[in-house]
Amino acid sequence: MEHTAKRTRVLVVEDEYMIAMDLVSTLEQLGYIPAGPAGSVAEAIAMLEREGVDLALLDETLSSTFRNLVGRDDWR
Amino acid sequence: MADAPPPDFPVVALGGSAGALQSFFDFFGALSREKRRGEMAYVVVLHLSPDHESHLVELLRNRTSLPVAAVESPAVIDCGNVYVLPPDRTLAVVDGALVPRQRAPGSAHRPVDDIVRGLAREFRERTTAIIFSGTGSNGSAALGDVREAGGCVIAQAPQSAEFDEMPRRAIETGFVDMVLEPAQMVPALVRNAHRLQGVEGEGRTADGAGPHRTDNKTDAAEERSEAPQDDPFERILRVLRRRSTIDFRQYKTGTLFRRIDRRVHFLGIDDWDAYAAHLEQFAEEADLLLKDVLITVTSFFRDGKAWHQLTERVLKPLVAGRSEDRPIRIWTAGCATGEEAYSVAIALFELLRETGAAPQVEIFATDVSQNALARARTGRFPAASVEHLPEDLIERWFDESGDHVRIRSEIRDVMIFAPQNLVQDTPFSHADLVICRNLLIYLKPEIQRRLIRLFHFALAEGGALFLGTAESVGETGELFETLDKEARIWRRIGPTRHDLVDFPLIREQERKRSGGRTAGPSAVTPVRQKRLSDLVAAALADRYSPPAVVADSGAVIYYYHGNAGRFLRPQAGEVTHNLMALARDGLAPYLRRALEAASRSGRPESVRTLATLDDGERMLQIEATPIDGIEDRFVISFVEERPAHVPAGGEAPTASSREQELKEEVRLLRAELATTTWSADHNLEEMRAYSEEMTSINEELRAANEELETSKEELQSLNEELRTVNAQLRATVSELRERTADLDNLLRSTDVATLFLDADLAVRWFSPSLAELFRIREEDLGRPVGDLVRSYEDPRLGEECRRVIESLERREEQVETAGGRTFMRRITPYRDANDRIAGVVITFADVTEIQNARRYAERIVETVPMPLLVLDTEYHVVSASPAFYKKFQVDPAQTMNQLVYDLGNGQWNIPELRHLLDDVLPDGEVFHDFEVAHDFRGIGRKTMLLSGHRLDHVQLILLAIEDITERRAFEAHQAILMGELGHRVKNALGVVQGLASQTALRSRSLEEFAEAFSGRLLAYSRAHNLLLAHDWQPGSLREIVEATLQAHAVEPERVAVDGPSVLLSAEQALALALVLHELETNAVKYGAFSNAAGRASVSWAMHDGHVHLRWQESNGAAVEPPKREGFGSTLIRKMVGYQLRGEAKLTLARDGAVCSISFPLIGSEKP
Repeated sequence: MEHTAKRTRVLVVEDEYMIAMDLVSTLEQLGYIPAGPAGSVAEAIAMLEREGVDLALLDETLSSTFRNLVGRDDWR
Repeated sequence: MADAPPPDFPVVALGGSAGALQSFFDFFGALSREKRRGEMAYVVVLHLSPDHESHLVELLRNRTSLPVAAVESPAVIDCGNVYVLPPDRTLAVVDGALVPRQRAPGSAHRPVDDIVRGLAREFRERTTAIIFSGTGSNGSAALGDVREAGGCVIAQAPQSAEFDEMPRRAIETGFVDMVLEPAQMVPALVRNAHRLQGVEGEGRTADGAGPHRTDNKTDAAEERSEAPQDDPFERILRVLRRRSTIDFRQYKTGTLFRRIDRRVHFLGIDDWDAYAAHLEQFAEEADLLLKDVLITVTSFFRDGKAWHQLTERVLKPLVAGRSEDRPIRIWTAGCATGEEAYSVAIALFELLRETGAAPQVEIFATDVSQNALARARTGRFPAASVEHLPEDLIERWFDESGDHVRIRSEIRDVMIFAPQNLVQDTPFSHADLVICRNLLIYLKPEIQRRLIRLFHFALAEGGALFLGTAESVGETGELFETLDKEARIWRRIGPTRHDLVDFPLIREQERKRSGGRTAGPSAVTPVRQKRLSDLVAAALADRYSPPAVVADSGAVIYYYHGNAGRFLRPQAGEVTHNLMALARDGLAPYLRRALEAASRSGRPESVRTLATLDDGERMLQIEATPIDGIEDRFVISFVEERPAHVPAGGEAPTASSREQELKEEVRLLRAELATTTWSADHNLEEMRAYSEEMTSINEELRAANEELETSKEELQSLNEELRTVNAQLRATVSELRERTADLDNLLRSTDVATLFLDADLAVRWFSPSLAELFRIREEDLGRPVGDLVRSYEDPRLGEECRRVIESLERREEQVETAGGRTFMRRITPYRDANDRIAGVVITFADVTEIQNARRYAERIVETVPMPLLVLDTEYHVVSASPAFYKKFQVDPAQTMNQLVYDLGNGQWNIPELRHLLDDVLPDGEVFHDFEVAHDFRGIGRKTMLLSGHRLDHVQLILLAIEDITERRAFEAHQAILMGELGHRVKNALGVVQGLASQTALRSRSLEEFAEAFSGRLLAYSRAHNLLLAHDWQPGSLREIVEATLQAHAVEPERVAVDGPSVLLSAEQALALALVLHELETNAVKYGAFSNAAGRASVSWAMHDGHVHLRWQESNGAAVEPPKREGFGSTLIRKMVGYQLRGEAKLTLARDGAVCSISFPLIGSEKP
């Protein structure tokens, strides 16, 4: 777990800044490499296109919008 | 009753008319006590008027346990059943079944005759006919058929019958086996049933000694005629011979045995010995047995074909070849009740009518039975007996009177009925035709042969013999030749053969016993073995006896003996047998005197006279002697006396002159005598004429009497109808009385007040309970109802009654009494027995309780706030709650009595509702809260909960409708709110956690953390409060600013707040609140608010959809740029950039911080 976590990049997508910051610091403490945070889906997508991530942590309210984009070919 | 009923059960016909009802009741009453009643079938025939409604079936059902049914359709006769004739029908019997037929009109309707005859034809010896009380003679005509078929006939004892004419007429026919009272008939029927089944009756000796055992063995039985004296059969025959002088030993014994056996069974006597004893004791029984044995059934023109042949081949030639002065003589031997004799008379008269010939006709009809002759003489016959004859024939030769016909007197006048025993008595002679039908078959063969010879003797030359279908002249070929074989007609041939005739045909010993009658000279040739002595006697008689003739009192010569011609002289003209006409001159008066004297005295009488014969004058003694044993036959003998003078001339002249004188005197006397005789003859003629006249007057009187009798019969038959109807009416009246009593009790026992009014609305009847509503008493019957004082308000009563009479429809209305009680007043048309409207019936039913209950229910319906429908079982609206009308915007007029599916133009035709009412409710009594959504025009889609309750005892259905449309909307809204709230709370907690963690990261001490965190948390919660106060709707920027300033307890005058009214979204407001909090905290710690003089301004403006906010401090403490960027600054920048999607620029000027913030009013991207 420790070994794996160190190499894992996690994109945080959360519109609430305070929560996003909290998540970022929590991920750091856990040994992940946080990416973002992105305050909107568009921002998140732009980030994804710039730098690849292993995981994305999505705000619940953004998830539906985000999920619509999952089928895109150029994004994996 | 355990044994199966026999297949050959007896069929009992019970016929009756007036007064028979009671007799039927008596009969069936006795029958119900008889164990074996189920082994017979009963056909009840009550002669009634066709339009009379009979209750006979019901009445009989009360009297017998056997099934009773009117024969309305063909019914196979089965034992143990009672069949009743419907009054408007008669019944035919076809293949063992009774078939209803249209009845003949008026008096031709003779149901008892018809049905009994039909039964006899179908069931033969199984038929029993019982003739009960009644008037008229219905039934009598068919009894012969029953007897001929071997059945049994019973008549009700006349003294026990209310009307004895019918049974009396039946008894008069001679065909009745038993005369009994109704109750006695039952055991007789049971005995008869035994007889039919060949079952040994109870108590009967089983030794089998009775001759009845040999019933069918005629040959064996023949020998029994020589049985010893104590043989019961011999004893029976002796009684019969004493009673009737008929010797039945000449009859076939088989027939006799059967007939005797019937009587034995009818009487229920054990054996023949006992019967013989009974017979010896009771003369009446001998008469009954005699009738039975001598029974002959004849009818008019029986065997029509044979009669036709007789007319064509015998009567026609006879009439054609006969001159007027020679009478046609016909002898009907064994004529019984005379039908055959009258038949030949009618046939003859018909011929005479056609040809116009008018010869004299003499028809002798003889029979051994006085009884039968008595009936024959009257010439009266049941109408049914001539039914089969052509109309015109009946019209010409019969007088009709009611149910009888009578032969016209012109025929009756030529008929001579006389008792005669063919076997014993002298026959008639010179007959042109002898009819003897169906008699020979009952007699033994040798008697038959003798009678055939007798008929030969009785017939004139060329005369014809007419026998029954089963009879023949046998082998006496030299006597007869066949004229028509089929029709059984023979012609006499050859000369008259006295030698062949053995009459009287009785045995020698019989003759001796009866006192040795002397036979007349002409007639008797004794039995054969005596023939030689007869010849001797005849020779001697010829030699020594005087010449004689045999003549009757009418002077017709039958026989000449010896040289009778010496005293007779044929006259010129027609051939004659008249003695007077043939007598020599002057003899006739003396012959007549002698004949008349002998005829009067019955003794020999003689006269003397001087007669002029061929050889001179002779004194002649004429003697007339009645012939013993032959009626009306006299031997008239002529005895010549020796001449008074010798014809020699030795006499004195004086004597000669004396003789001359005497001769002269004799001549004178003779002349005078001739005159006197002529005058006497003339007087006699006059007397005869006078007698004729008297006879004709008598005849007229008889005719008048007959007419009177006819009228009497008509009156009687009318009377009978009236009596019958009266009896029925009486029975009906008593039933009506019972029913009236029943109805009376019923009406009195109910609380329903009832009032009958006639068509004029006057009171006909009322029930006692009416007193509650009307002041009414018995005396008010007949008063108009309007005059009665009512104790309740009902001004329209009269009008309503009239309306009911007009419309014929019943009307109901509720009326109330002053006492608060409610009555249902129902007016119904009153129909009388003929279905005419004869008024009205008003009933008042107390419906107060019901009314109260209904009101109670109605109030409940009206009160419930929920839409509620009350439906009847056909789903029509009976009642609806006001809430229903309001909710669904319909009015009562469109709702009441409508089918629920039709409500609101079919808007309620909801499939789910149909399912609930049609499928769910019938299976269970209730359904609850079925949710149904439906679009209603006008009021939109409604979601409803339907609950139904089936109220079986009142035949209603409750349907409650709960509108839950709004509740459902509210619930949906609330769910959304709850989601939102949850989201917010989670969000808020996330933010708080973020604040805490981020604050903690930058805090050097717990105190520092506590201060910074509590400040930020407070600012955040104030912004929350503000938003909550506005129901989370977009918040005013000014209010946010003011709220954050308040949180830091900054005096309002130290802060200038300026900007247009801008509304921020909740998210923006919260973010901005945190930003402002950081600025203010900075100001309090390090800037404008850190001293007393510092001021700050917050201003904003809108530009290009962006909010441009500026925070500017002045006169604060000198701001030193921090060594590194504080968490507050970072927070401001990040929050604005990240969350408000804008920019923040923070500069630290000399007298305080300046911060410019710009952000789009609405996020370009919806989070």
